[in-house]
Amino acid sequence: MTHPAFYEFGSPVRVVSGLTALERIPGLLEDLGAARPLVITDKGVRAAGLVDVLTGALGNGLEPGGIADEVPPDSSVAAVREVAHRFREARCDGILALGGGSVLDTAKGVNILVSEGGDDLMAYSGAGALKRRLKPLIAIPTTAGTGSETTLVAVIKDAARQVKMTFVSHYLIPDAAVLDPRMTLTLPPHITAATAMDALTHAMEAYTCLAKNPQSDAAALAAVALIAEHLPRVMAAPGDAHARLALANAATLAGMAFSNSMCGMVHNLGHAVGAVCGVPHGTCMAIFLPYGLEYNLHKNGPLTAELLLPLAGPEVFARTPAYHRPFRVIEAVRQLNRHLRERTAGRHACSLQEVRDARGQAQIPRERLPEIVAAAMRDGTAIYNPEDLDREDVLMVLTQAWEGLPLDRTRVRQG
Amino acid sequence: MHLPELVEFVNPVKTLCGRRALEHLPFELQSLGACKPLVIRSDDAASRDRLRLLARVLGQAGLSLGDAAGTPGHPGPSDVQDLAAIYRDKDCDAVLVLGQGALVDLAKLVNLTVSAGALDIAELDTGGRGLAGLRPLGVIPTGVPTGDETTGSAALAGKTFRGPRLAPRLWVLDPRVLGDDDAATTADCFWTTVTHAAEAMLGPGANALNSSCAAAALKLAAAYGPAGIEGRATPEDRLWLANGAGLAGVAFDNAPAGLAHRLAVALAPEARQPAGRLMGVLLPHVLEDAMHSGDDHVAGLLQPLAGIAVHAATPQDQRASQVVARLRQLLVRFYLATGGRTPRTLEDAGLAPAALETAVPGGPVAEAPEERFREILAAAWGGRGGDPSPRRHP
Repeated sequence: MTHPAFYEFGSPVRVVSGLTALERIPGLLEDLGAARPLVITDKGVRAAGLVDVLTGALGNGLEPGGIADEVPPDSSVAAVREVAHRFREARCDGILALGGGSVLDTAKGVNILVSEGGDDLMAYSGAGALKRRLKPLIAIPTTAGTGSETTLVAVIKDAARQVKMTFVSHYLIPDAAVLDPRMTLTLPPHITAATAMDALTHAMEAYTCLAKNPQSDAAALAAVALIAEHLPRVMAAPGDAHARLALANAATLAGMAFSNSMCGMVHNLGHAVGAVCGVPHGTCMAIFLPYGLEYNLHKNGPLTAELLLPLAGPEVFARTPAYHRPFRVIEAVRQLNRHLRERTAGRHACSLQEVRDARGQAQIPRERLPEIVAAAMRDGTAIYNPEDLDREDVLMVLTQAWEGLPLDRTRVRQG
Repeated sequence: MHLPELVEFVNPVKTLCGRRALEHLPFELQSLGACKPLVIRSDDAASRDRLRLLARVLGQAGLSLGDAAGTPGHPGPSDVQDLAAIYRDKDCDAVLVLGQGALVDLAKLVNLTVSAGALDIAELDTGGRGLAGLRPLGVIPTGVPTGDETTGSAALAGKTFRGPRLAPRLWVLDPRVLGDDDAATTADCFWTTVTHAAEAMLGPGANALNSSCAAAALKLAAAYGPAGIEGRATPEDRLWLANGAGLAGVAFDNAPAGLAHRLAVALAPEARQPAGRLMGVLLPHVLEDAMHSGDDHVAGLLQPLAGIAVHAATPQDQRASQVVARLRQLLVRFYLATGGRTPRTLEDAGLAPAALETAVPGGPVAEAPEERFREILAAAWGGRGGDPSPRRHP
């Protein structure tokens, strides 16, 4: 067993998970000293009827102070200010963040303004600017993927300056995360697939990248096992509440893992494709995950091999020769992607050239790969990747991922 | 993996572990709004050296400390009030403890007292409003931890307090501070860790979140505990065993106490042995009982205890009995390594057969009829076991 010379791990969010977890929210709010929460969400979540499910579960004893559903797909300073204004006008005393990553980022930003006062969000950007506890914030994820409900980070776009501001503080970690399968039962298959692959990527990168530690390893392995067992079940039977709950648990565990051990090149490449071509994050993660494992194989073979146990079970692990296990892991991830593509009638892409926008147009033209390379070189997330990446390496990986072909391992840098 | 209908899990403790871990403490304290912790510690030469190191680290970051040396080994309620008074006199804003065991329990109650402004520990609200309004509490173990360092429970003068507001926020494991302990004390730590982790993975509260902590605790204890007990531990081994103890504490805190834990705690006063040693004796019998009752989760303990390769190579129907056999082997090894101070059986622990009856709870116990307690205790007294035939319980 190898361990880091130093590590830190913290994930103090109180997790409530179950088929009736939503009904625990009034008690959680009472514990936190709040009685009039503002529900922060987006129009898609509201249209899916999830706000009604939530308010129904709260019962007659708890009336939200308001429903703010104006969160945009990319969290923005303007949206944060607007929702903070709503919070103050309605004299709320806590926040229920109902949605995915953008809703949670917005909710964290709103919490900064309503707790600290004023509307100068920029004053609190960066790490450690917050010095005291904020108002109660409960996260209710509506996808099983981002793990945002466990993190101490918020990323909010300042449209006027064309920059994304990052906020990092212990005080931004939600007080509680409520995992209830009613929130993900109606998620369309291609989004279920992409978000679960996002969680799988969090777990696998957490387990194989440089800042891994015993606690993040434990959460990561549990997440991989849950996803491997339950994602195919959910794709076959989207109404399976227990399997949905298992995926929600997996996403939270993966969030705990990666937020304490950081990510590697899969996130680096995914951020770049997202920034240049506007491709959803989970789609990018699913495509790049096997490439990240393959690229780092010469340094990470034994760790990658260990993932075969939670991914495929002890029998497959035992009958696979040790030298072949890491390759089997990579093939299992590719096979899972192909299975998801089949289950979503092609909407789950296995290569960059298969990614389509809402009108069915190819979203990542091959000629844009150099732009993606440039964006990847500006992104800092590859710092914990086991092997270094330069422009040539990134272009080589992107080209293979565009074609949907495995890496030519003779061309992989071995530093 | 087991997913109960409704479950809660929280691990409020942030771990700082490894080389120069202390140097990360000032940032964490400042992030939590603190700059002058009260340091609760014993008063001996080693403790003074550690305090000097801590003071230097805090001072380099512009922080200071208030020293509360000489805390007694068996503190009482008046010590809570005395330390709370020192905290206020010295104008502190956080509590740190250099040590483990009773000192940690004391520090938990002091922190809650100064945070809540209570005048009497009987007034303390240990549950309720989560961590809101609490001052930061950090634990810096100086020897083999008991596992209580990461839990929301504390014992003082025979009374047990339990609730999330007692749990520390920081847990700092630095090899410069983490000292050695004798083999039998290390065995207590090992068995407490293994028992709390195993029972958290098996009990009715078992869930994916808690089991991930428990599995990591088992893995660390199995990898690093035996070296400490058999006198060949390196500072690294001690560090990672301590990690396991802390994680088992988290798992224990998020699950109902299991049978081996409860029986050991009930027998410890009569045996005049630390409960951890008795947990070690009882655990194989409790697991064997669970196997015979059809609990197939026992098999899941083999991977963290023995490693992926052994788990994968062992046929499914033999994994549970392998777990029990390995634990029994460890009991014998530790008995030999400690010159008999770590018992293999309840008889070794000095208990007369009649004393076992004190551990059998009266009245209805939902998950275990009285007869089942007696069977487990009788088997643990004589060290019997290994009967593979299924047993039916009424």
